[in-house]
Amino acid sequence: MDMSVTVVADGVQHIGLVGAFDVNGAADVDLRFAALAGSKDKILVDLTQVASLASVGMRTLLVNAKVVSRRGGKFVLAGPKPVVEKALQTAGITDLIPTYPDVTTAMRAFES
Amino acid sequence: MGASNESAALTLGPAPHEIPRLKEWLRARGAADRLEPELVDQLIFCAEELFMNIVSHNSAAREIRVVLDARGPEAALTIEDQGTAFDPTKVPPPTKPGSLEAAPIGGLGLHLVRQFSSGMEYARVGPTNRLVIRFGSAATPVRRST
Repeated sequence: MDMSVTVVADGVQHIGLVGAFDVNGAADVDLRFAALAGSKDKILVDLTQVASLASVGMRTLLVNAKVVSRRGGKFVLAGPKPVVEKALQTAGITDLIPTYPDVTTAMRAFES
Repeated sequence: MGASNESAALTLGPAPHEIPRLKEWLRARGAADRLEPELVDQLIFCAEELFMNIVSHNSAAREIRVVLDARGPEAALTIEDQGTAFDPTKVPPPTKPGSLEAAPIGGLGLHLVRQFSSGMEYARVGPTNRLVIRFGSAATPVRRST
């Protein structure tokens, strides 16, 4: 899985993920993801190009969301495809991590 | 291969790098059997979760065999391994956390398989763990040698 990081408006770290967020995908991004979550307080995870999400990928999201949340930061998800959104909802992740239908809507979560 | 009432089997090594082959096989079987895309998504999701459970937790498993028996909107996915006996149907479901901080990190895979399937049955047959996951309201799958 490919991961890109861009600083956008208001200092938000836009994390773009591309591919399958399975055990191999998680292995590709875990270290870099953890480094960001450990140091940045505004993180938007763009899921628009994530083809599928396994429980190991959910684990990555939960672990890093917790780290950011403990510091009082914001960690949000944006643009999941229907199959990914269904997995997130079924796992109860959308009750724990704010999830938005697209990046534009998700960015509003960071407005003071 | 690809007749709608034929079972088919795939044998995989117990390693994460086998996951793409598992997914591609299920996609190909889904196309050949003209399965609904949503059913194929569910099959792929559940197969991957259960495959990785064996890889991660049952080091005695030397190979993992996957069989798909699909009939229209129904399917039965059978996963077999010769690892240590383990019945995943006995694993209790997780309790819903009240907050992000209280949320457990693991244990989601089996919970999700239960949610995406219509039933799960386990049997220990000689040295083999056999787990059958049903989708739709699939009857007992026909066992064919391959």
